[in-house]
Amino acid sequence: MQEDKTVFDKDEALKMLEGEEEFLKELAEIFINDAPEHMSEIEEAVNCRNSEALVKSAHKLKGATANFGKNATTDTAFKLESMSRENNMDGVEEVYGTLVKDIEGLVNALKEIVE
Amino acid sequence: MKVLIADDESVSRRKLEKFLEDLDYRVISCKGGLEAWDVIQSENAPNLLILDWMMPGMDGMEICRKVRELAREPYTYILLLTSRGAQEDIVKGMEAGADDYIIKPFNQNELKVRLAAGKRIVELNEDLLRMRNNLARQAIYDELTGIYNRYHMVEILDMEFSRALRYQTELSCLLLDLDYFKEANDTFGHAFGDLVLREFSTCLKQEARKSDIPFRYGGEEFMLLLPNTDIGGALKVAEQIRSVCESRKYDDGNNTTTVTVSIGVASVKEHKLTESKELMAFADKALYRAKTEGRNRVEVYMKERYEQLKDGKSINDKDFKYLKENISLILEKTKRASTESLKLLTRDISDDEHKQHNHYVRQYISLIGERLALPPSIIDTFKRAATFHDNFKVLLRKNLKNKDKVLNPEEKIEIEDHPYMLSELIELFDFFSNEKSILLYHHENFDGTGYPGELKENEIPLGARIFTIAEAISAMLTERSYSKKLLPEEIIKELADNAGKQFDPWLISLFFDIIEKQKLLPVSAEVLTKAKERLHENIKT
Repeated sequence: MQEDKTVFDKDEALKMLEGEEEFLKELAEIFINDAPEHMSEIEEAVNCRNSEALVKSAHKLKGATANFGKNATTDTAFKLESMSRENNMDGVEEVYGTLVKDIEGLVNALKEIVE
Repeated sequence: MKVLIADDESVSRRKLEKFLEDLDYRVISCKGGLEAWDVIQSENAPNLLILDWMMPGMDGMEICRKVRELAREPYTYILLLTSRGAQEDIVKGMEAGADDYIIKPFNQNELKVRLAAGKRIVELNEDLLRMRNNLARQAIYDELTGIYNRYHMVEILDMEFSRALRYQTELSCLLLDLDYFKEANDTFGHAFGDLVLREFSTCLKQEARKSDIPFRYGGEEFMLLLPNTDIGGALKVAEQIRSVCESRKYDDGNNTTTVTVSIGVASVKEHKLTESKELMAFADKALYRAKTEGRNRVEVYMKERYEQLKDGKSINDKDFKYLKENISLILEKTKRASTESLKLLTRDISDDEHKQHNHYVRQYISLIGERLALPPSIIDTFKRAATFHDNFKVLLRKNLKNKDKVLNPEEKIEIEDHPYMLSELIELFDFFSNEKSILLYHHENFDGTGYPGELKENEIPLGARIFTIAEAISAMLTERSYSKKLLPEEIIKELADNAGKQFDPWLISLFFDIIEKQKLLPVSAEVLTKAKERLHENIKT
């Protein structure tokens, strides 16, 4: 998969919500609030090498971030999901490391919108 | 329309929620599969479901399967939310019972039209169910009265009958017919008639016990089925209904009247019935008897009298009375038809005043007749006379108002002639009065030795004289248990011998001519000539 390092594209996110800026803010707040839980679920699955749990948790995160348009977090989460779905657990720690950075970027970008 | 969404991921769920609310759907939002399943099983659950494929607890596919198992009405339309590229999931989901799917993150326009399709299907199904339920109701209920109809009656009757036979319990049946309903209908109008039917049905339900089942059988006929009730119990219920009706007034604000009811009763065990249609037929026979015996009464089916008549045994007085009732029942219809036709004839030329007048006259006759405790059949006759009088009068264009002024002699004669004209007209309705004399005198003999009047010669009506001869010849030509068949020569001799005694000799001579000309009997001319000679001798002496 081609690596696209878009952290967050506000224009695209707004377009998906028909330009409703207030609503984008509301969704951003929800996500900022949920992000730690997403990450702890994924972290636990990675640590335990539980592929089944990782499929679910990565899938869920991917579903959430996809609502904000195309971004690196979604891609990385999808990568984690695919790897664990194929039970290919070698290197998940590394991908998880990338995900931590990606989501940090996304959350920060969203925080800017909210403020 | 209500729509349920189930997604464990809150951003997507909120987004979907808002989108649907903007489209004016009433959204019930669930955080997971188990919560959704609880809502789906509740009363008034939404019929449109949007389910996320992957959820903890119970996933979208499992809910699909359970919803289809539940098979609620109206139809539950399910839209699955899946991720891009999950082809396999789509196939599995739709196999499990999903109707459609949409890929996350969804395109708003696409979701909008897919939901509209789902909504359309649910609404079509709702319409269809509404129609089906209406039809199902119409199929068993009578529209006017709200009680079961005839179609359903047949079904319930069969069911109750076989139940009674199986468990050896008693089952009784009342057939009820409103007396003179048609007249009330004609006098006060159909709207009033409908009111009577509706209120009578209500009354029937009230007076019957909880386990009894009322039906509207047809026009003004009703049936009440009484499971586990013997003839005594059925009679009690019937009498209760009859007496309530007798004193009950129907009132639409303009008119008030009483409508009595005649009831026939039959019971399965009491009358040893083996088929459900017998129960109805027997109750019907009892009802007819209630009608002929004067209406406003309850009658039970009586088996023996019917059987005796069927067996052709000679009948006693009581049976003869019964036979008369049966025959007059046939004529009752004719009588009614005649009066109705007459009324029809005057309908357009008589004014309201006339109709009102006739109504009052009939009413007063009833009141006086009832006070005198006259049999209802007699009162009916009196009332019919009034109807004939008024209608003939209309036809003769005699205005009642003419009575008030002073009459000139010519008018006086005309008025006084009136009763004769009326009686002449009513004779037209007496269409069998001439036949009566033949039946009465067909056993009279020409020489005055017959019965019942010992009439002789021309005193005996011509019809009776002809009948006697025709009857005798026919009897001689056929073998009967009490008399032997005669040879043609013997017949001729017999006729000639009895001419002037039993038979009218002039008619016999006429008949011999007929025999000769038409070769009615294989006899030689010689025999006939001899017979004629004898005949002439007889006449001379």
